[in-house]
Amino acid sequence: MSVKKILVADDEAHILHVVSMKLRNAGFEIITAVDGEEALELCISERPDLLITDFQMPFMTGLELCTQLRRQDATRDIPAMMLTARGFDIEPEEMEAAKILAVLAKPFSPREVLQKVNELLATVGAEQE
Amino acid sequence: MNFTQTSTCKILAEMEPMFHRLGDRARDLGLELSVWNSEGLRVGEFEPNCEFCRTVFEAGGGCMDRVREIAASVSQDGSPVATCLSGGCSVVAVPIRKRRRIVGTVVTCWPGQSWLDEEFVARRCDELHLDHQTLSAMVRKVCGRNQQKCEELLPWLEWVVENEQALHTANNELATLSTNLSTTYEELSLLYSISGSMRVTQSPEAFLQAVCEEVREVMNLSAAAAVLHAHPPAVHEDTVVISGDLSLTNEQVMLLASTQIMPMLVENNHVVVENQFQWAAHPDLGKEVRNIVAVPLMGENTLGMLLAFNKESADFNSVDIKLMNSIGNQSTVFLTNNMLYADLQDLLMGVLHALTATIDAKDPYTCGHSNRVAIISKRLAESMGLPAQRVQQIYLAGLMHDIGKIGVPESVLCKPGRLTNDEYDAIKKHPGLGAKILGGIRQLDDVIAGILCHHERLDGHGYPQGISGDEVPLDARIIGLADCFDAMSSDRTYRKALPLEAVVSEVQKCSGTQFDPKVVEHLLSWDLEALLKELCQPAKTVFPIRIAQEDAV
Repeated sequence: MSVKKILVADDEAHILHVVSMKLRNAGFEIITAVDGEEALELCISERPDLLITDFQMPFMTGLELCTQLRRQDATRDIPAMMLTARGFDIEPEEMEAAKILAVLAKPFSPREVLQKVNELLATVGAEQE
Repeated sequence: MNFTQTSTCKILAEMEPMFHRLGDRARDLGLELSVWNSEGLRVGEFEPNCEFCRTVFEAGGGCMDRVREIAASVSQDGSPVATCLSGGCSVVAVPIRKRRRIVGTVVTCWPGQSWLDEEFVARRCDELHLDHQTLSAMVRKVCGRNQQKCEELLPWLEWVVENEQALHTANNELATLSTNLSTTYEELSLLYSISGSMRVTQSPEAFLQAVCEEVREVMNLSAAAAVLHAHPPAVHEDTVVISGDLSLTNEQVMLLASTQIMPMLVENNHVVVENQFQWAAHPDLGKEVRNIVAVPLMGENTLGMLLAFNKESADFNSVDIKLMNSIGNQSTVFLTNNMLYADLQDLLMGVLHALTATIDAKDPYTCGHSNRVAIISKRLAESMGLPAQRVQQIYLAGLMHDIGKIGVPESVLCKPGRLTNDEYDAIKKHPGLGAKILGGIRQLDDVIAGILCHHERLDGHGYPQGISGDEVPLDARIIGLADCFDAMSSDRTYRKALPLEAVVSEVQKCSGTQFDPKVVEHLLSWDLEALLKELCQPAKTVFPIRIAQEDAV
């Protein structure tokens, strides 16, 4: 099985570092973006296997980002997971529409993120087979 | 999408230390450096470093207009520029980026190769009305770079700007990381300190007050409050504790909690977050409350709630909510334990009262005697400054001092006339019997001595052991006096109550032989008439001592 590529998008450096480090140590290939627009560009150019995104980012929120992804064939199927400090602001319908598979509210444990990532990749992998 | 002008200005202002470092490096190389925002406006004053530049600049021969155009074009399309201007100035300009967007331009310039041409210098001197010789001398010191050098400088400048920006970003990240780490430490230490301070003997109010103080500081709140429902509701009232500055009174917080927040808590899956809070029913009361987080204190029943008011300079986020939830849960554990403890304590007291009531029931004339002795003993212990734990112990011993009478035949106990020697011997067994009855209860170990020895006397003529002086435990000396005082001042089967003066003179007479003079002194210093009147009243609460509370006086 090839190494899975994960894009982590967050404008807060510490979250980016913590999540990337945990996932990189677990054997994933990690690319990072510091705002929604960069994340969208990287989704198109790099086609990651999973997107982990913050909700509140400059230029484009995580929700807008996911909505944009669903509009293009190339990125439509990239599974997305959201890390947010405002979990209470996202409506279930919005999540459903943007196909966000999981939401973790900050502060989260890095182990929890890794576990969720493995779960999501396993589910998505099983669906594709 | 572009930054607005104000936002680029702000971003550039944050980068100021970086521009200072760049300026210093440029100066070392004999270059002038200026910074322009994305609107093509210069940031800060332009102060030429070298004498030559300053002279030309002040004479109006500077090339600021051209530099501005170049900076604007670089800001526009992002391509760096290296060029020689007709005024003799060589210019290298590179964009400054933040989050991949151009926020401004850094321009370096210096006197170009043209200034080495004597004819050019003469012409410029004429135009600018400057002295040819002086200027030539200045030029020779600084000049000499040509177009090729200029192009060589371009990658250098790009590299330096890039490095400086990386350094700037890294510094910012480090600052953010440190801030976050410190906040996380504070939150952790808050949780540690709350779980560490959960002593079941603490009063719920004192515990919640301490929790509110900590929460307010760690979460940067203007105020934190807790509402605690009464337990049990019939006996106690709901309480509110507040820490910090809040425009609401305790009653208003209670109203807010019960009418506005509680229904939302029930509906909102157990946490309420209002970043634009409005109190619909009382807009004027609520106007100083900007934002609110409330978590319930939820055991088997709702015990109350914790409230966080007005987070300074930000909205409440999920970090705050998780923290509040965790503190709410910890507080609930404490409150639940505390209530269990109180219930157990009430149960124990109830059982003990019931037990003593059985003695009093055997002899209606002594009805309430045990309870009165307990109260007088407690007052004496308090008045002598004994610690709360000891006061409670003496109260309990006072309450149960006659429990052994359950083993004395009723015919003897209630005999109206004079007792025979045998009968008196039977009576004398009651302290020992009492100690034996309660001897199996480990938690009452400390109480036994007071019961066993309450008929001992300082002079050694008491019973059952006939010990004297300091051998008679203080608890027993206190209870012994309380016992006799109440016996003399109430009606008995064989006589009426003695008048107060007679009781006092009897106590005084026996001070030093039967009673401890120190304890007597405390008793006689009181308003005894008022005490007797008070003792006749039915007790307000069944159990005057509820829990030995640390913070009780």
